[in-house]
Amino acid sequence: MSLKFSIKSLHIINLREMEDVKIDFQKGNNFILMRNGYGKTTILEIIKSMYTGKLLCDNGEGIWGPNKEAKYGGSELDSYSDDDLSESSAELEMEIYNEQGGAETWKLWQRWDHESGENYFQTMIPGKGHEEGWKLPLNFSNKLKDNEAFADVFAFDAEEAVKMIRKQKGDEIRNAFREITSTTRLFDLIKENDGQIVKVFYKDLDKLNLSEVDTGAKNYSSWLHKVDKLILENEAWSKKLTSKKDENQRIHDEKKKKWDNLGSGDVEAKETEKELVKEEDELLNELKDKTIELLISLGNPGNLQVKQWKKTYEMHNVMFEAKIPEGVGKPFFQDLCNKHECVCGELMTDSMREYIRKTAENYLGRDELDLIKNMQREIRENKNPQEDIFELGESISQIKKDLKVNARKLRAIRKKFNPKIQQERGILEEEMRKLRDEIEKQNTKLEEIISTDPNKIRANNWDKGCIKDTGTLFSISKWGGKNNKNPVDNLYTLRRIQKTLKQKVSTTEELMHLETGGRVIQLILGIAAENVMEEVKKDTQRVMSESFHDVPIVEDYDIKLDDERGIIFINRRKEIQKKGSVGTTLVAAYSLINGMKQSGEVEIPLIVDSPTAGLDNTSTQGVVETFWNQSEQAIFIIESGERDKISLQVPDALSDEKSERILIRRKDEKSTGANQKGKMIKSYNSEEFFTYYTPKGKRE
Amino acid sequence: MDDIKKELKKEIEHTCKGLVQTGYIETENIEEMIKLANYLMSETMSSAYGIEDSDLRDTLIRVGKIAKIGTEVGQ
Repeated sequence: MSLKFSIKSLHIINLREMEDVKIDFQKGNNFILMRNGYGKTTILEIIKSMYTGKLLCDNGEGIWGPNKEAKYGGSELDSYSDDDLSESSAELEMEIYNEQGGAETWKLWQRWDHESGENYFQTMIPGKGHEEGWKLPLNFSNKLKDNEAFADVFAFDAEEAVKMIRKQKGDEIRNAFREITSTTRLFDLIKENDGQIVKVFYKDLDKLNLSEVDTGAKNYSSWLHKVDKLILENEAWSKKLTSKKDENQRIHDEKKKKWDNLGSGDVEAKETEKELVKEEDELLNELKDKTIELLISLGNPGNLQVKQWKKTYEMHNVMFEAKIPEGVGKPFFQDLCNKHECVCGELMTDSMREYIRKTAENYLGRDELDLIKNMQREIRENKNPQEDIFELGESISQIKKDLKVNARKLRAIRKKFNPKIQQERGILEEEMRKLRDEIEKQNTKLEEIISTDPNKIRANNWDKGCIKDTGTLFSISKWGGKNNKNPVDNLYTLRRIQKTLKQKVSTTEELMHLETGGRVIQLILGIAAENVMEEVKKDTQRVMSESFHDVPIVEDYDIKLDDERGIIFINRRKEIQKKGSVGTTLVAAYSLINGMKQSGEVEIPLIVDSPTAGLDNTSTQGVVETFWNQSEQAIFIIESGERDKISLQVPDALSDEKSERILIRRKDEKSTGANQKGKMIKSYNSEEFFTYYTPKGKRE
Repeated sequence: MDDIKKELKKEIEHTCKGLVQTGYIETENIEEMIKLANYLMSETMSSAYGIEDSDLRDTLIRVGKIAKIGTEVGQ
């Protein structure tokens, strides 16, 4: 048996109809006799709730809520103080057999804290002690945790069972079969649209921002191929450009040498020219350096002094003066509104929340805060103070003025050279200017290809907007990989794109395996599980049918499990009957339990409220003799009418040898009349069990 | 449950052999496939909370690697 257990006791405190009732159970048949309205349903519901781990609360959210009926409503609370009444509880003590066949005593509590509204479980684990939550052992949880359909089979109200069997559909029977064979989770794993396998696959797909695996994988591979090609092309291009540039520089230098050697015959003029040219070179170099510095400074928002920045700066100062920590914005206040308490510890009221919501509108949203943080970071990391821009501007203007003066002087000196030399020099100058322009262009392109300075790359848009501000991400759509128009030529950027694409390709390869693997496993486990379930159903059907025929019933029917309609009745002419009588249907329910017990490899106590409801005398005898002695432990919750019927039909069933008789009644109640209030008491195997309260008109 | 597991193991082996005939699984991978399918079945049914997502994912990738990639299985 994979699950075998019995119930030792149930202790209910301050719950619904009961102030404090502890019922001890024995192996074999236990009969609890109590009036209707004294808590029969509560006993059944609490046991089912303890079996399945589903809290017996009334709003579905683990909170008992304002239902005051949860608390005991009696008037005599002689043994409890007000503090005790702030909690209700139910304690279920069970003897559960472990895998080695040894019995262990487990205790499970369900508690209701009426102050906080909480409803929760606690477990006493043998050898470990108390733990919060529902922690019954694996063989128990595998069969019963969350399996309400299965729990309903072994703990049921006979009147409800008749309704259930009549209404039951094929899928409910199918679910019960999955629960008893512990295959529910297996079917949940392979379910076609929302099974665990499908969910795991879609989680990976979402991570990669893809709608389907094939397109993504194909795109990433093809883009990676293009990036690889672009890197090779640009590496070759940079080599070619370097060599062309060097050649141009060599030609330029030769021409310059020739130009230098074209003397004027005037030694003094020639010397002055040399000095002026040297000075011009120095000025040009200085101009280049200062211009680069200025450009870098201009790229820093701290130096821009634009309107938007000024506003942001002012707002930051206002927040700082108001002692609001850096980074506090609208999201902080929105979160605050959802809390029970303010940061100062005061309880939140609706008016406070309304005020905060209105005020929060004046604060910055997440995007603006991110912008501010970025700007603050730029300021902190800024190596060029604000005034540099003005100083640099002044220096550049001055260099340009100096260059103009120098050029004037040069022109004046050269006019002193003879005309032929001036003409030859003019031709050389034009050729050198063209060469310099070309070298300049080659230098710029080379810089674009080989630069590794992220700031320079971004400032010149050499990454075509692929690298984001965080510096690590790139946008696939902008780099030109899709259509190759105006692609990125910067090798540093391309290599980063290549690295990311490689990662994506490797992941999408995994995704393809994941998809294939999921589909293959869905197929294998699906076929295997369905075949096994078919066999289980056949076995259950056989046992069920045999049990059904063991009880004499009015209608000469057979029963079958039908995939579409659940349990169906078939008459002697092999015609399907819409429904059986109450007695026939209840016998079908008991037969189903027998079938399920066998298929589920379980020995679970049978708990039935009103176990003979709707049965005539003959069927009562049949049910008692056929089903009631087949379980190691059974608990029947009956009222006096059923007691009398059972006593009459099967007197032996309530004998000392065959039963534990438990009477639960109010302490001072009269033996006749309407239900009464007061402390609940119990007695075991007393003679009063047979004489206690028979409804008016039924008394013999 | 042990009996159910035994029956499932038998059926898994039978199904995998059937898939070899249809070409979805290569003969040399049949043992590995049966092992992985049994592992998934057993883990899912043995633990109180079923198999963990990460464990399931890794096992399915292993299955995918030995199954025929791109095969329209189950369609």
